[in-house]
Amino acid sequence: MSAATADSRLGRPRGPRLPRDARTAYLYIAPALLVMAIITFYPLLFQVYISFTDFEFRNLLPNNPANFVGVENYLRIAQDRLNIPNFAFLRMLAFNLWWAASNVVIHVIIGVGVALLLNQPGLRFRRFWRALYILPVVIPPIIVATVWRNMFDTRDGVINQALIGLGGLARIPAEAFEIDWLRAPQDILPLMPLAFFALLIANTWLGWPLNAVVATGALQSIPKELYEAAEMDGAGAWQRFRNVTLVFLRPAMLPYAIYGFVITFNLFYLSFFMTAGGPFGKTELLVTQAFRLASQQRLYGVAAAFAVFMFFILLAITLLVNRAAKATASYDR
Amino acid sequence: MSACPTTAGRSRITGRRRKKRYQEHRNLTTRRQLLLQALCLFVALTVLFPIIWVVSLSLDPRGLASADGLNLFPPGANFDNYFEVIERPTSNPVTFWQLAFNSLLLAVGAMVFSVALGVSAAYAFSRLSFRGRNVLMLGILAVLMLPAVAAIAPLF
Repeated sequence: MSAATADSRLGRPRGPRLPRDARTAYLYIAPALLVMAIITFYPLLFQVYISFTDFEFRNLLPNNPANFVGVENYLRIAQDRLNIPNFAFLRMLAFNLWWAASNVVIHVIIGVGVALLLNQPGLRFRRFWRALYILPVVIPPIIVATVWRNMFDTRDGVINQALIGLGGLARIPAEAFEIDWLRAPQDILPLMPLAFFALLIANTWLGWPLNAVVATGALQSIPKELYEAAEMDGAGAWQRFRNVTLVFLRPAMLPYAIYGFVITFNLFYLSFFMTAGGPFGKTELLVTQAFRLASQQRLYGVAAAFAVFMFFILLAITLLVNRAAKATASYDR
Repeated sequence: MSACPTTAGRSRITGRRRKKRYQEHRNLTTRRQLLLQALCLFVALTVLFPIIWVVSLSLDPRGLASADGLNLFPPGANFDNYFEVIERPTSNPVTFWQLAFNSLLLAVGAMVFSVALGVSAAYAFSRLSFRGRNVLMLGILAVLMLPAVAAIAPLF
């Protein structure tokens, strides 16, 4: 089918494929494939190879091959037998999944909320507000992380200063608000130290504007007639929202939410630069841990095994996500 | 081909309708308008606050490691920090413009190279048919799903 269309577009008579055509195609793809082979496929294969060895810093020297250790690296990771403080693979995985899920839910709710607000008919300065709200997206990530780390500073951070100001109104002494946002060791809820909430606030600031943009696009595509029909049928404001707005938002928001989940799951810089994984590795994500294993601990074999684990986790998420996205891709379900 | 005029016609109709709808609802009650504007302003403040805060820090002449309180207008605010950044941002003897030029060079170089590779591969994938087309396409796309950090161990 696609062969026939391609041929007819080129103005060639239909019929059996010309071998010359295939050769041209390979020629066109060859440079891209060559580059990918060198910078992508070769490292990936090499990674799988060293994940089965005890490759370490000393093996970077020439003529010093690493020993084959089988699946030892994988077992050490899964059973937390690494010589690294606060390493707990399953807790980290659970935290990472929870981190991505909680973020995305909040982003979508706030994004849709603001989109609904800006979509109010007759609202003035709508374009001005829209332009303002998109600002967080254009700021370089490392600057966002640094700024928020400073804002959560215990003594001088804006957040604590603001809380002291508010608390002053209620006659609460200032000492009550010397909150150590990024380092307080105890969990508020299971898996969630205070640093988690600090990261959550920073990432919410960063994440909802794009959700609002997507939601706005979906809202503007809802035909007005549907609301009129619903109103005529006696639907209240809530029922109109539930049965018209939400139905039309879903096909646009769900794929974007899924995309947001994967992005947040792999969000390197907030965890790395704001909390550095602390307190006690409780806000470490899989990506930041992989980076630490390779660049700081220099356990290349373990890091490679860790990356292979990550690959399968991401693969599982991607497959699940694809199923979910396909099942809800159209309005007619 | 024949679908084009119809779609254009339809969009013209919806455009007119949208305008009409807009006029119908233009008069929100003043109270409601003010309430919604206040909400918008609140959202804008939360969005802008970190940005304003960084700007105010950048104007502060005292070279603090972190802020000392909620001053949005630091005492003795001036642009000295900006001149310093432009003349010598790091301990190395380079100016801001040299750093910016390096970034530009890197970006343009990478862009030219990747567009050249991408265009030629895309031409083959979209216009020509050959054996192994789908397999190759999948192989290239699958790599996109890996985070950059996942390939970190072998790249050292």
